[in-house]
Amino acid sequence: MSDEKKEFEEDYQNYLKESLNEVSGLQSYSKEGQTEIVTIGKNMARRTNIMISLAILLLIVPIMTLSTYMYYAIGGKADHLIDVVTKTIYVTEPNMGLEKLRLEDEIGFFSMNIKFDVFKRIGKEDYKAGNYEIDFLLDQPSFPKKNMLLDRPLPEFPSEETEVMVHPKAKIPFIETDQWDILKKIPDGTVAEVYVSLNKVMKPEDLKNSLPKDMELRWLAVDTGMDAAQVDKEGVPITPLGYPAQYDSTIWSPFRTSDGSNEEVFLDILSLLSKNEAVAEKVARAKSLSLESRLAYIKKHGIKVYGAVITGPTEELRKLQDVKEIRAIKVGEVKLWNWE
Amino acid sequence: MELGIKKKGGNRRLPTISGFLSFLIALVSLAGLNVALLIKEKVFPGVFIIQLPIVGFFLGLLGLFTRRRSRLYAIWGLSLSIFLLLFTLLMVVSSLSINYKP
Repeated sequence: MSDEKKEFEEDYQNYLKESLNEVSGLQSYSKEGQTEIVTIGKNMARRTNIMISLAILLLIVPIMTLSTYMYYAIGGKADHLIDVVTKTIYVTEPNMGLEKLRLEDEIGFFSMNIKFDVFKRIGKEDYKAGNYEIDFLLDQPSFPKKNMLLDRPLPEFPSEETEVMVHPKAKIPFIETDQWDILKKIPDGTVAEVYVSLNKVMKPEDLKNSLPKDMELRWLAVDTGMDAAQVDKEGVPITPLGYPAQYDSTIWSPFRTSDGSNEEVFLDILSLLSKNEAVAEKVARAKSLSLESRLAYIKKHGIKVYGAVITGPTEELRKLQDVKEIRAIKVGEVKLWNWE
Repeated sequence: MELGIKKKGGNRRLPTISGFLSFLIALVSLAGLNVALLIKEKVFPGVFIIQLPIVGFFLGLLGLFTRRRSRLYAIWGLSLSIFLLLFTLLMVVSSLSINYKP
């Protein structure tokens, strides 16, 4: 037992000596060398920290921009929003159109801004009626910033008292004779735009046939079942829904139809808007569109009109007084002669 | 007992020079891109999103081929350059699909 212990002791001593020899054989760094290593390590760590932090900070803006672009691009979200906005204008603003080709868009962080001009046809020429600017936060639009250049713009907050095209069963909120007087006092050699209210709802073709020749029917206000009351079920004022009566030669206009079936396009637009009503209600002047029930009414009863926008030479428009279907007119814009 | 260090001629874990250059170029490109995005420049400066990242990409690739030195900077430089090139590609594709005009 004691022999074994001695052997262990010897082995241990030998191992210790060997290790000590090995350690003394190692070349240790000088003081300067050690300082240099520490300095290099420190600098390296500092530089790495700075560069990686900088890289992460600089990645924030590109990643945010890229994710916004991807959000609007994937599934055509931006185009869809633009489509809803522009089509809302066509069916809620009487005699108003736009050039979609010139619509400008700008993508920011999680937002999109669109700008476009709107036009009115008065006589034979399209006049710039103003411009719209709408900000979207992802897919939520803000109220449009409008800058209208018209002499007689339609009211921004519509009500029964300010309506220009009135359903036969509704009260006319202006004095009819005053409007005919305005038309009589406007000099010949000018062109004008008038909003017409009819005595009864009628088919668009019947209205076209009953009008004098030398004028153009521009927009038709369609009976949607709510126009007599002029408010929706909750009492919020509504404005007429309608569609352009003529072929629109503007590129990318939804009413650039090959067979002239503007009625079908109108119904398609209404069903598109009813699926995106929140966006359409922000863009339209009326803060309620009640599209689902109005579209259902139109589909059930067919397209019948109770109002229209007509443009032409002022002296021709005076002849409208003799048309028995016309209950009242309201004079819109007046411009210098451009009819021929 | 004093601790000794085995020394085998210059085996420090420092990054490669090409890796460092690649990282630096990627950072410069990123900074340029940030400026372009923040001032809402319509036409992006191609040098920051195409030329420089391509240089950074190849330098980073070169920096990866090392045994002794650290690949950290090369990996960062390479990843950032790939991100910048991918950014350019995705931006072009998505810009074309938003309100495209012929």
